[in-house]
Amino acid sequence: MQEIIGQAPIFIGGAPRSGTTLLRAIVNTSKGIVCGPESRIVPALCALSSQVEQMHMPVLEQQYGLDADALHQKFAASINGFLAPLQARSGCRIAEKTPANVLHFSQLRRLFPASPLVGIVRDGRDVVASLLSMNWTEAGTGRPMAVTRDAAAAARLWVASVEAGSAMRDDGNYFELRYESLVRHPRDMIAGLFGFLGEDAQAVEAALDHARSFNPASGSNEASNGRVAQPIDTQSIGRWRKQLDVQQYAAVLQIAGPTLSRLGYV
Amino acid sequence: MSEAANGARFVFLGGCPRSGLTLLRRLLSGHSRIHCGPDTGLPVAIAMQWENFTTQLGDLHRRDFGLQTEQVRANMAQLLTGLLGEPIDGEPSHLLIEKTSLNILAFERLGRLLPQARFVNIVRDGRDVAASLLQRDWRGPDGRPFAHVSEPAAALQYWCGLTGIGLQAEAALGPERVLRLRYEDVVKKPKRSVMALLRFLGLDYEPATLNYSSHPIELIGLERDSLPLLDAPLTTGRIGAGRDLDGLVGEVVRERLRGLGYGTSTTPRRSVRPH
Repeated sequence: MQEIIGQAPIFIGGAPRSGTTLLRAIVNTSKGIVCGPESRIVPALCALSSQVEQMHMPVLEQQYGLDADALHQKFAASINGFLAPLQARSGCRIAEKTPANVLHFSQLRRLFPASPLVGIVRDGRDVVASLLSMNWTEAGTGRPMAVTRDAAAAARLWVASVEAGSAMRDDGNYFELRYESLVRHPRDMIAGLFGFLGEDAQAVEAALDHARSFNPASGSNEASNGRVAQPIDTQSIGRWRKQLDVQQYAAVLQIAGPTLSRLGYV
Repeated sequence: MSEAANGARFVFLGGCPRSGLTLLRRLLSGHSRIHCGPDTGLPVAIAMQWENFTTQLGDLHRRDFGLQTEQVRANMAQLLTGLLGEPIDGEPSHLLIEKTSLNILAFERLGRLLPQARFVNIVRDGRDVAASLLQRDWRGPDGRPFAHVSEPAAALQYWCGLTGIGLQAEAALGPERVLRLRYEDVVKKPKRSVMALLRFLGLDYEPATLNYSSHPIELIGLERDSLPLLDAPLTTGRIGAGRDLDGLVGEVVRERLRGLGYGTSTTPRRSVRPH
């Protein structure tokens, strides 16, 4: 099925509010890659495939003739089936950006052995501050999502996302970048990313002017579109200083302190 | 529409747990054109995920990804049939039967996901089901027993809820796609019941279905709860096992029992030898 796409799809992920939409805008400036707004298909099908693998693999293998490799191929074919119309419409290589992809990078590697995986990491304190300003609601209940109301829940999500990305560090086809480095040194960071994806220097130049081509009307479920439609700046670095109160900051440090320290943020 | 996307050779059994689904698997496994495997949980999980995609993300997928409703359906249908269908690949006259009891929760959705799949709604007297449930040691993630296996009223209500969902699916999908089969009929008149089921599936009767002791199958997971019964000849001895619960039956459950043809509990005690 990957042959139909042409090249293995690229998967982008990171904790929500870490700059994944900015990455999408940057990647989309390439003439050879198209990255739609978050479809949320990939994490859902990865979670389902992991669940099936953990709970039902012996039954499927013994009674239905389906081994783990075949299971991975079926789920990969399904994900590719969802991506195929966009690929057909654009004629480009597909990048799929849903923040929660990062939580499933290890499973995505099993499903797509040749796919580049791109993770973005941002200071967890800024991520939590940004999450707490969101008005996201649970699809089923309509109630506010815990990560937008509770600093501890937001910090736990950040830690889980960052650790899931870190678990891929020995994977030769995983590329991780820091949000802060991206906005402070966009040329160098974009050159590194595009080199990883096989894009040339001309593509890097186009990406530095991503705001010219970014369509903020696409991706109604992305909260950052207005911001991403602007040229890259460093204004959002350190926003936690103004937005987190003492209790929230303490909750973040209690949960995310070791990870923040390991990454050099504190 | 491809066969993988329409589910024409897929049949899903469902019903309240302890209604005789594993017994039915035991019978059907003897048929040369049927592969009836154990519970996988996949049909419900995939049907629910498909519904989530459709209801929560349908507009987004159409607008930004060019994904039409039918493409999403066909893709998820092919995922389900692809995961389960290997045993009937290359056997165009064979059927794949999946028997997760809680398929009943998703009969309607599965019927829309796989427009040519068929379904068997297995029902059993709710008092007998409740009595059997109350002998289980099924616990939740917190280690505590589920209410429907520890409290008689909850067990009866559980049966009532699931049979109600089954009846809704029957009404929505129609008799050409859903066959209701009563456990009591299977054990009282096994040949007639199996023949009716095979007719519904478009298959000829084969005596091996009732001579199930000659073709052992491997029971998996909760199926093993039924092992002592499944290795013995068919018996009507379990009919009426829940008669002591009759006094706990409330109005709603009573109405459901009547609707499914269950009146006063009876206690036949006769074994039926396999034909």
